[in-house]
Amino acid sequence: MASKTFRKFAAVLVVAAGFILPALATPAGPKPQRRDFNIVAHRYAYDPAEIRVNQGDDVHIRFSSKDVMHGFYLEGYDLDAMASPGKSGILLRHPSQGAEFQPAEEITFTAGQRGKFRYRCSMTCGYMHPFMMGVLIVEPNTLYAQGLGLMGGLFLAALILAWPSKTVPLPAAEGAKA
Amino acid sequence: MSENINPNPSILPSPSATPASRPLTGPLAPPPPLEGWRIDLLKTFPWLKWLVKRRWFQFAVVLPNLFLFLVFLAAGVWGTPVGNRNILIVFVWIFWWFLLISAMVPFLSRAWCTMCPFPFFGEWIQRGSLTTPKMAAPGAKGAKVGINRYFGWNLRWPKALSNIWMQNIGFLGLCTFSAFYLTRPIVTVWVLGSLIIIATVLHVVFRQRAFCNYVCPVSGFLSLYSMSSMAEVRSRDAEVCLKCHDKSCLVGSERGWGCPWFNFPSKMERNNYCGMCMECIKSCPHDNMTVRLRPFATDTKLKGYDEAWKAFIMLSLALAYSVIYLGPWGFFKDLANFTESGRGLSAFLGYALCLWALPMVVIPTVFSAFHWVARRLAGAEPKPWKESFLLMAYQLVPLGLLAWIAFSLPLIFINGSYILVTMSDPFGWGWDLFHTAHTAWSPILPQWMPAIQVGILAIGLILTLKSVFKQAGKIYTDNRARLRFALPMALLMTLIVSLFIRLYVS
Repeated sequence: MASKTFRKFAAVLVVAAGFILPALATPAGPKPQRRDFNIVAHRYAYDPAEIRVNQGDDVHIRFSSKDVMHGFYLEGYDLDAMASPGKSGILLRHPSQGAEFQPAEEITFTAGQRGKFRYRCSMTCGYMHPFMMGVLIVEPNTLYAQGLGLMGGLFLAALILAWPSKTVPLPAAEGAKA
Repeated sequence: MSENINPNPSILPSPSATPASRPLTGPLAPPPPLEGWRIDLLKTFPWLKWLVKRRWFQFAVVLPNLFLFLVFLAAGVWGTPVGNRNILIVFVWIFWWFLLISAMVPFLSRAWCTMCPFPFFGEWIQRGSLTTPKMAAPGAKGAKVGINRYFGWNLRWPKALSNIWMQNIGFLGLCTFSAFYLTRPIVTVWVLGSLIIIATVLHVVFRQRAFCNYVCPVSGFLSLYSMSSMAEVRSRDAEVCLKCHDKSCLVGSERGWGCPWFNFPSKMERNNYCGMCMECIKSCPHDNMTVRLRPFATDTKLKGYDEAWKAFIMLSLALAYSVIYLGPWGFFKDLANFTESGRGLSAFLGYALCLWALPMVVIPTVFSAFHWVARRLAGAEPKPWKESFLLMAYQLVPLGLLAWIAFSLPLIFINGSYILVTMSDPFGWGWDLFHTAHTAWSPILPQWMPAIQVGILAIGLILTLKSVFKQAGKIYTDNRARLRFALPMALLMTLIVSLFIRLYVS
C-alpha cells in the first residue's frame, strides 16, 4: 500500500491538476468581433441581466433607463456610466481618471479580461439600490472551470488521503442487515 | 440542546455532597481530553487576565456599544430614509455584519455577546447592579439563584422550550423580511428596538440569560458558528474543578455571578452556549478558568436536531441570499421587496414559502437522502440514525460559516465607502464631521471578488472534507465501512460548494 508521503504527494497533485488543467485545456476562442448590446436599467435590475462576450471582443453598449436615474459601473474595466429616463445619451467616466462625467452615446470597451464581472448601479436609485446589478461574462470563464476543478480535486484528494491502508473485511451478516 | 446547559442551576446536587475522592459521573463528570493545541491567553497576556477579571470589564465594553447603538437607532428614526446614506443601515448591516461573521465569530467566538447591548437594561434590572454581584441573604429582597440574589420574577424557562427552535424560527422569520430591514432604516429600528424590549421583558420574567439562550435570533447562529471559533472559555485543569467544593462558576460568589448562560463552566466542552461574559473567570476561587486559543473548528458535536436545523437554515439562507442579493435577477429582488415592486402579497407569500421550505424541508431531505445512502453503503450500523445524522450535519457548520464569509465579503468590499460617508454624515443631514462625507462610491477590488470567494469556499471544503472522514471514524470502526459512509457525505459537501461557485463565478 502506498506510503503516507506518496499519498500526500498524490493528493497535492490531484488538487493542483484540478485547478490548473481547466485553464490549460481551454480552447482558443473565436476571432474577436464587434458585439452590440442594448441594456435598459430599471429598479432594481438590468435588462438583459446577463451578457456574454468572448475575450477580445469589441463591446458596444447602448445604456438607458426606464424609470429613475441609474448608473452602470463595470467592474474591472474602469467604466462608470449614468443614464436618465427619457434621454438617449449617457454620461460616462473612467473612475481611475477622475470623478467628472462626460457626455457619450454609448459605452465601448475591449473585453480584454476574461471571467465574470458585475455591472452595478452607481447612482442611488431606491431602497434596493446596493443590490442592483447585472453580469458580464467574458468567455472563456476559466475561473469557473478552475473553481469546479479545484473542488473536484479536493474531493479526490480527501479520498486518496482517507483510503484505508489495511482493509478489514466486513462480516457478510452486517452488510446484509443494512 | 447542550448537555452543558443546566436550566435550573439551583437544583444541582450540592457540590459538598459529592466527595472529591469519588469519581464523578453525569453533569459533574470532567470533560473529555482535549484535541489539538491550546494557548492559554490569560497566562500569555497577563494584562488580558487583569482586564477580564475587573468587575467593570463587561460594563465597559457594553457601554460604548450601547451609546453607539442608541445613536444609530436615532439615525434610523430621524435620519434619511435612504439606506446607504444612513449610519444605521451601513454600520449594522454592512460593517457590523461583516466584522461579526468574518472576524469575531471565527476568531473570538461569541465575544459579540460580551458587548451586546440588547440585554443591558434587562440584566441591570434583574441583577439590581451594573457591576457588583449581589449575595443572597436571609430577609434580603429578591430571589436566590445559586448563592446570588436576583430581582424580577426569576421564573424557570419552560423545559419544552429549552432548545434553539425558537431562535431558528425567529431567525427565519426575520430573514423573510430581510429586504425591508436591510434597506429601510425605520424597519431596522423596529426590529432592533423590539429585540431590546423583548430582552428586557424576558430578563424581568425569567432567570438570567433566558432571552440570549433561547430567543435571540442572532444568538442562534452565533451559538452554531462559535463551534468553529479559535477562542474558547474553559477550565485549565479538570482535576481542580473536581476537587472544588465551591462551584462558584455555577452558583456564583461575591467575586462573580453564577454562569448567566446556564452552563456548568468547569465542564464546558463546546462554545455553543458560552456568552463569554467572563463571570466564571472572575468567580473561580482557584484561578482555573481561562480563555484559550485553539485550532479552527474544534467543537465538532451537534447535540440535537434543533442545532442541525440551525445549520440547514444558515446554509440555505447563504444560498438564497446569494441569489437574491448577489445575483442579477430582478425577479427575486422584486419578490423580496414586494411593497415597492408591486408584486403583491400573494407573490411575497410564495417567496416566503420557498424561503422557509428550502431550509426546513428541501435541504434536510437532500441531506437525509445522502445520509441514508451513506449508511446503506457502509453496511454495518453501529450507531443510531440520530447520532450519525448529527455528526454529519455538523459538517455544515464550518462549510456554512465560510459560505457566509464568502457571501459577506463583497458587501463590505463593494459598499465599504458608504462607511466613510455615513461616519461623517450619520443622519444624512449634510454634515461632514470627519471630512469624508463626500467620498465617492468606490468598490475595492471588485473584479477579484469571484477569485477570493473561490478561495474562501475551498478553505471551507477542505475543513469539511477533513472532518467528514474523521467523524465517519467515530461511527464506523471498520476502515472500509468508514470510507463508504464518508463518500456520499463528502460528495454532498463538494456539490454544495460547487453550487456556491456556480452562483459566484458563473
